[in-house]
Amino acid sequence: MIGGFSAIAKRELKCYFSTPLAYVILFVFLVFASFLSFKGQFFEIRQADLRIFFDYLPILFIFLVPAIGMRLWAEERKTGTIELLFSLPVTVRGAVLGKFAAAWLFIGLALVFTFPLIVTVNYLGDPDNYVIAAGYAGAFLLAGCYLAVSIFASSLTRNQVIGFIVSVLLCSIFAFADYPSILNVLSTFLPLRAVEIVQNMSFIEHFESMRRGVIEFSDLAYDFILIAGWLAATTVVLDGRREA
Amino acid sequence: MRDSFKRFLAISFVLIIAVCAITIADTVGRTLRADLTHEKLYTLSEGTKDIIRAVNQPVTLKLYYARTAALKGPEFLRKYNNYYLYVRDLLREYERLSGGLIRLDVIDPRPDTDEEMDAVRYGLQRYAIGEESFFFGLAVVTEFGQERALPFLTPNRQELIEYEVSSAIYSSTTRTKKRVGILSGPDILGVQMSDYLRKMLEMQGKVPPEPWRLANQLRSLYEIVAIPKDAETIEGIDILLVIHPKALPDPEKTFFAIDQYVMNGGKLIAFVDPYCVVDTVNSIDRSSDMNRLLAVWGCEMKSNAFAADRRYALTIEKKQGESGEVFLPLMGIGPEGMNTEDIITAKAREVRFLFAGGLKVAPPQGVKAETLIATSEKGNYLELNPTDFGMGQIPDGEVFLKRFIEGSEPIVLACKLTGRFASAFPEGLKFKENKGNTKNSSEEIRKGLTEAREETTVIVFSDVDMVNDFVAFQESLFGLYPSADNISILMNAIENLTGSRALMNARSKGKFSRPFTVLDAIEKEAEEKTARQVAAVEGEIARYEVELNKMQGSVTEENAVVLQREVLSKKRELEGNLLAAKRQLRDLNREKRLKIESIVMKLKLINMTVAPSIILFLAGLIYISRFRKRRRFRRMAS
Repeated sequence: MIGGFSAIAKRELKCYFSTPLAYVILFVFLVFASFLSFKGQFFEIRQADLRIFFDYLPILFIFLVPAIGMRLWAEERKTGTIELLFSLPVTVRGAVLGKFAAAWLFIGLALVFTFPLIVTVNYLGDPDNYVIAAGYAGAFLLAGCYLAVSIFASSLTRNQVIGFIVSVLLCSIFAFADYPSILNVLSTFLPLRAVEIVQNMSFIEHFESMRRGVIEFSDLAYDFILIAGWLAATTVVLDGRREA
Repeated sequence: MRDSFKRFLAISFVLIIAVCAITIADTVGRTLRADLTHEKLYTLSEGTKDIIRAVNQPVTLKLYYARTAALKGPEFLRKYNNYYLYVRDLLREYERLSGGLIRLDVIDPRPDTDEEMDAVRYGLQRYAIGEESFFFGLAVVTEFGQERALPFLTPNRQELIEYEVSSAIYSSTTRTKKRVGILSGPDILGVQMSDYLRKMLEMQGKVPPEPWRLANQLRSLYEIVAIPKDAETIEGIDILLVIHPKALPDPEKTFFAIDQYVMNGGKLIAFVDPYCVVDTVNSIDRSSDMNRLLAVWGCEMKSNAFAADRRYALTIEKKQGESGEVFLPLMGIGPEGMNTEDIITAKAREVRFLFAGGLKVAPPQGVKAETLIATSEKGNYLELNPTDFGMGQIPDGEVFLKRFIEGSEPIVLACKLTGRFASAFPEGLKFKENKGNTKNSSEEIRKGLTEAREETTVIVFSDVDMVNDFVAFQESLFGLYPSADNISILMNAIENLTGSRALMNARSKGKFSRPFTVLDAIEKEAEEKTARQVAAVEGEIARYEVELNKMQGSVTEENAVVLQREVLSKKRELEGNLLAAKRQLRDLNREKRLKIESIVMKLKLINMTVAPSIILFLAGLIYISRFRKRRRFRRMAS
């Protein structure tokens, strides 16, 4: 196993449940997730699926995930425990992966707690539960992408608020990369192929298929490569700090 | 400084590799996918695969999507962007499975370019967005010069896209088209002419009949043969459609021709109707039937009555902005009313009927009858009362609601008869032959086959409006689109009887809709429960209104003073009654609404509170256990 991965992951996960912040984040996320779904005419459309919930999820993640990810490295740097951490037999890669895995699992738990919506659609109609399962898998991967970006932003600064703002900004760019208004601005100075590449980088576009119940290799590859890329970048940043 | 630069380089390098890898994975791995939807909505059907396998010449699919224009357009075009990606991927599947014979060209037609001219020439629809033109259509072009176009692709028709593409490929690559004969009372084939000529004629006050949309759809797939209403023999076609057989110069002669066509093994689909709303032939008697033939073959339509079923009744808007009313004659029969074992109706989600008749099915020996579409057990007949239709006006829905009594068995609206039929003209037909003038006319008996040569199939629908634009299509921002599966099941039936099953399998793709059945059932149940009360209260309201009008009319200048006090008190009483009755009606409607609202509120509350409460509870538990631990620790320490 990568040096210290499981130890770090366990410690982080434990840490989540010992601070009130995690409960507040979970509480706010769950209230907003159902509130936005109902505001989005979940009952008026009368379709036994979670389309509306999944519609709002990428927007909700823009705030939820950076809130979880902001403290991961910024806090360690601010309190100076980062030096202590790296003095232990732990590799930077192991620490990055461990923290990422713990935070990802925590977001997974937040998604699990949205189960009343699944129960509701199953009570009210006959939903395609495979599509719902694919949607949740897509949402989990989407959260992973947001988290990888947030961890990178957190590693750049010792101030959690700055980390939060930077990651919200980066996540927004990736989430809305396929919006016509953004693409329109880009198309004024970029060739169409480059605009297409930007559009292809959009989190939401790659979530779209899974939300519909289609699992595409390209979407899975996108999610995993993106996560790996941002985590590698985080490792590079932290490696530099360790050497310094 | 050097270190930070190195780090910056390393991060940039990592991210560039990630972007490249994603782009490569996106290009290479597009075809690797798993469709988890129950109906395999995103996987090409077996029918489409058969059509692709049968393609024997190079075909180019030109997908026109004005991507640049879409980027400059309003936000709602985002759904077109997503839909474009779906269509593009679907077409790539066609390309992949064709072994090189089908090629996909994705074109972004910019203004004033050859591509834009081509798109217009193929007949694709153009919408202006500022200085740009928005196109989203498909042209199928074969090496032999055959062209088919889907003028505009809209996400509303996502479930039909595969069928439409397959159908365009099929019709452009199949050289021998099936011949479909059409014998109809109203002119459904219309007069085909250019828009310019049509406008010219309209300016001269001559309005040439426009073809029904059904006719245009049939034309794109089949060779249409118009069968004259006085045909003596019908032959040379693969299938015969008889639609609203009325205003026939000599009905016996025409029916004899149809009878002999079926005796010779011909396949027949008939549409008859007790009241055809779109009848342009005769506005007073709008009925048509073929009982002369069908009674012998095993299914007869009940005359002067139409089928109604509260369960499937649709709501129509009386006036714009007003709330709708339940209109019993308009039914949207759902999957429960379809025969799921017959491929024609197996996957239909809704078929709409307007003043449909009921078929009494009693097959003779040797004929197999199969119900294709029927009402629920609570369906019943309603008399077609001529006084309801004064001046050709269709009465309000409440007129029918008041009279409707639930039945106890389903009413058949469409059935399929298969077997060796006996002729309805066993003695032949007496022909009157005119030799120059009426005096010299002589009678001749023409004998025909008394029994069918071979087994054949006859399908009967008890409604004509169902295939007219009025019922089968509805308006949208981008033109007409099917309101239900009416045309789709007719196409299924034609293909089922003429043998091109591949296209039928392509059509029978699943649908997206998964309604909240529990809420629908509660609504229906509440409606059924209060229907009688509502009808009674509505009757009372109508009675009070009539009485009130009568009383006001009876007051003249002479008796005004004498009657004034009496009239005024009676008027007040009636107005009071009227208000009370209206209040009662409102209460009944509110009761219905409240039931749904209370369920919705409960579910909203459960959803918004259950999970957060669990979180709070867990947080509380952990806090308490920590607090206890800390206290114990302090105690031990002290």
